[in-house]
Amino acid sequence: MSASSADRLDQFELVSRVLLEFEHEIQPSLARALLGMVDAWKPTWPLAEMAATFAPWEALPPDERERRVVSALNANGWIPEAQAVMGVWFSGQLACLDDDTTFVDAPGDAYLGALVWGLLQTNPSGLPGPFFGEWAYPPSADITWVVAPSPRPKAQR
Amino acid sequence: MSGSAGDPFEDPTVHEVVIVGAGYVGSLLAEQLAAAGVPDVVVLEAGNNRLFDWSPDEGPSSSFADARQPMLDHYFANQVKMDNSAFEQAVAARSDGVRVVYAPSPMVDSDRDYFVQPPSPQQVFDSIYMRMVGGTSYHWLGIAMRLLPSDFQVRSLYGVGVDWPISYDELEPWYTKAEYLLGVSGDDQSIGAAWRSAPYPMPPIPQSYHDKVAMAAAASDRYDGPPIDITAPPVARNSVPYDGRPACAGSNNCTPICPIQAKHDASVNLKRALGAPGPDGSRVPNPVDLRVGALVTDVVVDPSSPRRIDHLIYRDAANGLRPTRIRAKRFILAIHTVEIAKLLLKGNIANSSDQLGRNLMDHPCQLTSARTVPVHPFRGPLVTSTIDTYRDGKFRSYRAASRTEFQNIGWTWTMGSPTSTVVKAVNEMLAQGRLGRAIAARIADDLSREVTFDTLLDQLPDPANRVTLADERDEIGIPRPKLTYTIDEYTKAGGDFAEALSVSLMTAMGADPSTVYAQATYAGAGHHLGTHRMGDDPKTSVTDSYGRTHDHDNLHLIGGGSFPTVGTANPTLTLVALTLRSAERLIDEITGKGPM
Repeated sequence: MSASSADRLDQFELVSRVLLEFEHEIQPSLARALLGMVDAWKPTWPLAEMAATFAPWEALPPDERERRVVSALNANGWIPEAQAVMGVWFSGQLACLDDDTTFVDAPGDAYLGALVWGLLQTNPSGLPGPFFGEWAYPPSADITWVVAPSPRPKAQR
Repeated sequence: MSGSAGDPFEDPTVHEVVIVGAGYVGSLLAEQLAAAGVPDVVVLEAGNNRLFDWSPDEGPSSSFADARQPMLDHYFANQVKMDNSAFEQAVAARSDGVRVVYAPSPMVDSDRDYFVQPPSPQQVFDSIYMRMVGGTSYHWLGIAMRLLPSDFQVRSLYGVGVDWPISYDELEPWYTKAEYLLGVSGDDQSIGAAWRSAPYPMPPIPQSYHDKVAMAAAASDRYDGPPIDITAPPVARNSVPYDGRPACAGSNNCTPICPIQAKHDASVNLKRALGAPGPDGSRVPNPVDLRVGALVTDVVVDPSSPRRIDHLIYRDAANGLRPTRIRAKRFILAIHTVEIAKLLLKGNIANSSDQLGRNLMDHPCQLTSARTVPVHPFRGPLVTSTIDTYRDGKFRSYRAASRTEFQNIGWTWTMGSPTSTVVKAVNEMLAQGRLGRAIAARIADDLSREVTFDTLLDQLPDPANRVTLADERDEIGIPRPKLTYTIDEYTKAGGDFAEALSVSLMTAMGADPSTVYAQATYAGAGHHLGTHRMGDDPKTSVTDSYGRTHDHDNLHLIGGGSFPTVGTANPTLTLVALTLRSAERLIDEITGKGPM
């Protein structure tokens, strides 16, 4: 099966929405960068098949969708691919499975856009800020905005 | 010399001073000499990177605009997020057009590609540095702590190591000058045994929420008797705007590079040495001549006067790595502990004591991690608290002193967090049939509970721990440094104590015992010390307390290599104080006010 780069990006966004349970808009440039990382790790990974399988389940209630998706991942041997897709979104990094000390090359956007910074409720280390002294107090307990559609609660760069 | 041919290119001038290295020591020294009006100071720097907009043609008219964004971009795109991740190796074309790494730096992920050391998992010297404009000052942590008075007298007080040829009292005024020059934020109420003649220039950096949790736990943890004293360490990070630079914004990236220069680095002083205006608009009267991409390969003694160095040979990266000869009245080597030893050993210079290259030291780090109650790391500066309780005591006759820091980056140092934590959570939750939000919540909870303490240990001088020249050579044919290095039982006893202290405090912080991890080998602190130690006796030391070599009147070695012992303070403030003290002596000599 061949697909245009636009089709593949659509497929990657769909697979990402299902696996990460995103409800907000995905930034295409970031998705393109992360797709490039997964492609670099495994050039022939079954993106189209995964997208075709998951597409009918997008509108299902979350619990039912999760059950069906996980079942499909196990049945088709797609667990490594799911780990890779979720790994690049959460951390911006992807280690080669045969050598977890060697990482797939990634653009800076992958690091800066990693969800883990939202889960830590701070800036990506190295971006200026947030502001003097904020570290002296615990952050908000609410991290649902990382994957849900509500706006980010703190000003980022 | 490979990649070159013929006689060296001649610089016809006999310069007043040639400083080799534009890191902390070289940049500070250059600024001091230039500000004092010393003419014709040349600075040779192997690195050819650009920290700010400057060119020899424009000189003091350069804009001096900061150029750290390319380094930040390099860091963001580098998959290895460690000490040297923002910086690139020094590369240049040889005369035959082949591009080579002509001044290799040891790197975190390949410290055996440059250093010649035993294979893993044996304990090795585990610290690195950068050969670049600014030296390693861009990725220093910023802890600006004084040694204790007792650290200068460990032989007399505790019967171990050696005494320094100078005392704390003698160095104290220079410590104060150093603190005001760097801009140090500190707590005047917690100075321990190190008396002060002036307050810190700035109030302390706030301690993190993580530290507050530890402090609350320490209140009920009477480990080894005395209360565990957790204080904010003095740091060269601004807590208020200072010297034209902003206050810390908590970018959590002191290492490898502060994105807003709230942390002091050598570019501050190098710019001024080159004629940039200071915050008050003033400029030095005699800007220095900075030559980047100038790799010094040889130090040559005057054959008619063996106590004098006649010239240096450097490779000029801008001209096919062409050898160039440069002469001066005085030469100052400020190229870091290992590089100074390597360069001088190559010509058997300044080594009548046989101490050159010996007594290589670091602060071996004992690392302990655990999962505790939520402490929310990865927010704020990398270290905002220290335990100073065990920096001194009678125990130092049989056990290394120790100073424990709280890492504000979770399990990064011990396990590669946050990526490793993400991978583990994704894999385990997927196996449990869970996706997206459940995994996100798990990652957030796991990361919020990650605690790592690193304890810097005193290390005694051991002549067998040393730098020698390896048979292996770098890409332009210079012998690589061979490091022979072991950690003795004295330091290990301190490490055992530190591990027990860490576990005790982490347990009081609610640690899950099954998650406690103590690293089996000692990490390096990045504190390369020893190799050309100072002393009064030419038979047992390489230089006097001002850095002048005992063997050559016009050759000075200044830096961490001068330290006879290391104590438990990060060394930068002490080496800056020593540099300022040496600078005054040099200026007095050159201007005819003092001894020669």
